[in-house]
Amino acid sequence: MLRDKIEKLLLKVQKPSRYIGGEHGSVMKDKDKVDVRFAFCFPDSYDIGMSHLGMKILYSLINSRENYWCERVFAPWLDFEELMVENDIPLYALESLDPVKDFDFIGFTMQYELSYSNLLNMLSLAGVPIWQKDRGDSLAPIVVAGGPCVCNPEPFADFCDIISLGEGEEVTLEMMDLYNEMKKKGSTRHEFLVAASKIEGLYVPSLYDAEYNEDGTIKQYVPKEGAPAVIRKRIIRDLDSVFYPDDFVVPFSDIVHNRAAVEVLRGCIRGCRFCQAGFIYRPFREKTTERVCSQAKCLCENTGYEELSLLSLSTSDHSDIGGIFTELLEYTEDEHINMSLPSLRVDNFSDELLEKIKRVRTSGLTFAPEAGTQRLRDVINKNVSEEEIMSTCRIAFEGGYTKVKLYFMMGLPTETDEDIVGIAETAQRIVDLFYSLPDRPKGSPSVSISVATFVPKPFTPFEFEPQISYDEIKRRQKLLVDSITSKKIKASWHDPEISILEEILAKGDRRIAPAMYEAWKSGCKFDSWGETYDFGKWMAAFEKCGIDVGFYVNRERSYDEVFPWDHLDYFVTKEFLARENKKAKQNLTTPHCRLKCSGCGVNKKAGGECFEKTTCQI
Amino acid sequence: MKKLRARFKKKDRAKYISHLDLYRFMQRTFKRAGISVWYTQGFNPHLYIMFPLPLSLGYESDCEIMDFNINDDTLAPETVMEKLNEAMPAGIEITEVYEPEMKHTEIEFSHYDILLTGAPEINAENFGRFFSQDRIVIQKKTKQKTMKDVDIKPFAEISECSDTDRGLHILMKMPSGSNASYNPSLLLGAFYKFAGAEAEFAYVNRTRIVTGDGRDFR
Ligand code: SF4
Repeated sequence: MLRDKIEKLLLKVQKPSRYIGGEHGSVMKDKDKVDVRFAFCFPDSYDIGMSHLGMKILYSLINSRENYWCERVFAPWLDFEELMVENDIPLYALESLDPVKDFDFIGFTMQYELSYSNLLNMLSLAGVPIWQKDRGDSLAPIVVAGGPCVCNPEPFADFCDIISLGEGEEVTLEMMDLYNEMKKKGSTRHEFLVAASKIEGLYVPSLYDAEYNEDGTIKQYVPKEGAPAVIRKRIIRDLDSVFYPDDFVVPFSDIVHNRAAVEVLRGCIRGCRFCQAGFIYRPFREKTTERVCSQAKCLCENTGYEELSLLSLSTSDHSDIGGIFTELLEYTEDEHINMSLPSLRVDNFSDELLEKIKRVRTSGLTFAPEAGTQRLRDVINKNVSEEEIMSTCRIAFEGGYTKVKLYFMMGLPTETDEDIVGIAETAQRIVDLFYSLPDRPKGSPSVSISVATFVPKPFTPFEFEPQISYDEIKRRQKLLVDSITSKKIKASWHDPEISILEEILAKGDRRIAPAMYEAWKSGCKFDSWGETYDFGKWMAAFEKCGIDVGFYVNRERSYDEVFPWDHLDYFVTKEFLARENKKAKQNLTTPHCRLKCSGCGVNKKAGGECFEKTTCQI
Repeated sequence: MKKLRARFKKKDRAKYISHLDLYRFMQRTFKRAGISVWYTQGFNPHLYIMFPLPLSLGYESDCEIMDFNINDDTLAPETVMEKLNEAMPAGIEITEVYEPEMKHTEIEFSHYDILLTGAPEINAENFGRFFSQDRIVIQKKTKQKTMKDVDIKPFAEISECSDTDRGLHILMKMPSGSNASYNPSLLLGAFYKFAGAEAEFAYVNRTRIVTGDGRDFR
């Protein structure tokens, strides 16, 4: 039995409890009584994957159907992976401990580019052919991928049978229902895929041929066998009534985010031009205060968690965030539960509520101005002013905090040296502010600035933009360091090489796939972890496959170029993105959606206005 | 406030919950069970739960001990047990809840039921020869984190050692008090060295925790 083999190895590895399941909330079923089995794979370690909300939602949703069984699968950490391979243990699911290759569906959630190689690695560990074309005609297993990164799935599309676009609560069950029906009829994989391609939101890459122009850009995607020319993402119209889990799997060991979490809203009104999530999750929809609070309490009671958090892209944009906090702070205080608060806009809170928030906030203050000058913040449409940064810091200092952490990006479109120096100057003004306060706390302030290299992403107004070159990033980093004069300011950044890899994986097309395969063959996996990340191997793989990295990473694209993701409809129109791009270059901002609709096209496709009071410009 | 003590089984998949993780695990179980437990007072209140005797990761047990205080004096121990068991995942089961009768310092020994599988050299005859040596010296970590040689022979008591169709079966008693405490793995490790082979798997189950005069710890 597989279980015996697993248990024999568990005491030899770090944190064995993450490989054996059995946690509170994990769902056991009799496999002879279920019709369709779904292995939900997170292409990273248990500790990361178990912190992820989307997986919890779909896990509970699928398991709410008596005849379907969803189980969890994570990438085994290096020590255990080695032992699994040595001892012929295939990738298995945590509930039944059955091999993943025996499942009907193998689902992957693609959350970040640096997890792509783990998709290949997990398929290989499972013993499933890595290339879709090698999977033959037997129906199972169907490899399906979803999550934010599938808005450009092309780099990994050839490894998947189906890509699920947008929100999964409805379409996952529709897909499984169709499968269940066709499985009973004895259909082949191909028959099922052709039928699945007719379901809105499901993209079947093998039914599309990519054609290229001579200059290497994309000519078009040609659909086959009746597949739609454009595939639309799915959204849930009414967030208030959509399924939400009333219980979570509670890990035995500590993981990154081990807590009860309630999603308060989807989408974002802000329209920051660098932020992919801000566009692909439109339109903005929120749950009612009542619903948020009752879901939070229910989850706390059922899981026993001592920590609660509210999740969304921008929680303080909930129209009744004050009401939510007032109710939940009272509840959590009585129940000895810590409420972890997201970064908040302080402007719309009463003093009394601020007092309460201060009481529960334990960590220091984090803030994301993203750019060092007002001009560049206007370019990226990050609606944060210097006064706001300073007034928030003042409140924090007066409330006893001495630590402030600021997030910035480097390499933003139109960025000049002045903007880089502006990062250091902003930090310096915060240090000065501290010393200017008569009732500052004891000790000295610490301002840390974390700088990420900008990665232009699909479905943002900057999708047309190149990433700045490696040498230029290095030069700007040095400029920043030289501009910092105070010892109270500490700067840190990610390795810019990682951003190059992220960019090519984010904006690549199907021609990237063979290089990804090569990179994985040469040992690339867990690319977001220092232990295994190897930029040299990736670059060698691109070179071996004749991929010009600069073509994907450092090339400015024209507004009429066909992109690898243009046949996927995320509701936001390309015209709008181009318009926003032009406005960015003129340092012009765009108001947020609640103030004024900017005509991104989402309302037309979602069927109705996003907000009652706003009207569409176009 | 009422002081209570629970005895519980830790089996199956739950045997991989580490001692460090057990506190959080129980804290959440109390919350799910809806039992109001006493928090320490002060600046950073935390739930008072106490496990007097750690169990090695991967060992099973019939008799783990947990002390805690409940706020509602009128709640019957049986009710506490029922509620906790309803909130427990498979593998952990409370078998008794009662008001403590002994002090932790009265714990002297643990009994273990051991099955060693998967290697022909790991058999009763070899174990007999191994255990009939005058001295069995093992290395043990001291409190100062250095290693020292200890003759473990006088501490271990073997009441059964027989070959079964699943492997070598051993019943063992080892000190686990505050003065002396030895983990059966120390003796098994020395045996593997002696036999020149390792069991493929060692199933170790703690069956009893007892006082110096052999009574069950309560
Ligand atoms: S349609 Fe208008 S209000 Fe709706 S998301 Fe687009 S810009 Fe915002």
